[in-house]
Amino acid sequence: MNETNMGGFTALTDDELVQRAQEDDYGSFEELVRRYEKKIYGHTIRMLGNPEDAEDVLQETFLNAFRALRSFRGDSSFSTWIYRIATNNALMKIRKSGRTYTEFEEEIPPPEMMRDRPYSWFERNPREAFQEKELMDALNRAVNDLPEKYRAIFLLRDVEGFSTQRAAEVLEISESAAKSRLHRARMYLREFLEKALDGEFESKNE
Amino acid sequence: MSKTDPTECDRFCDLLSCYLDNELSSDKCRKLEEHMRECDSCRGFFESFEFTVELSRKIVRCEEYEMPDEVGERLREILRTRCKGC
Repeated sequence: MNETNMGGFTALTDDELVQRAQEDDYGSFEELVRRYEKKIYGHTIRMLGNPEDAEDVLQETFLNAFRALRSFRGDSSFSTWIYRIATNNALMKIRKSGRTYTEFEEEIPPPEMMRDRPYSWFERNPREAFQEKELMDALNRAVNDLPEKYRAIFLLRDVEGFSTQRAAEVLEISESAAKSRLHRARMYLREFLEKALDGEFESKNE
Repeated sequence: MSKTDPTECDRFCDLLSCYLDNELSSDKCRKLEEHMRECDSCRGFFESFEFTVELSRKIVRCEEYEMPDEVGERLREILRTRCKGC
């Protein structure tokens, strides 16, 4: 493979790097890896919940990307494409581990079941009653408890900040399905927080 | 607590995500805000829902999810070994 000198990469767009990498410029591929490795690791560790699995999926994702790069036609951006590979690999890892939810309806109640629950924990003003770390710990537990297809859309939209359209492209679902899943995920997280923080508040004040 | 039509409260809940994401028409937005002014229960629900979404956006900054340098080094080493010169 030919290599472009390292100093020239920063000014190049992802598309230009992809094109060079497709022409056997390994340095261009390595620059794409540098641009996305931290984001993809962050996404996979949040999907999988542990660093060992996240590192496996990170490596697998870029190996897959390298092998498929020649057939990448740019129908979506490189960024969307690499997130799609990573998300699919993470979902595969979860399924292989046996921790899977096939019957989503049983695992996550429909929104109408979660509407009339109390929100007493919120009336206690969680910003004052809890330290941010306690809130984040509770939320992270809630995210790990989400069935994977809901976790994926939630992480892409609310954590990574993707638009609905782009998150739907990553997951290869319609925008309306993306919106519906996201709403259910948020309703579930709200309810999980409610139960978790209510319990913690009670134990703090015993 | 004010009394409102429960089916209106159901519709309100269904629209919360779209409202927060600015994906509602101005007409639906106005109706939803009107309902929130009239219904204490839905207003409280909305505040806890919005709080959850705001908190979620901070997960991205959690240190435990940052990639350690050695993970990046191992990744690039594996890629060099298995891809370079292919």
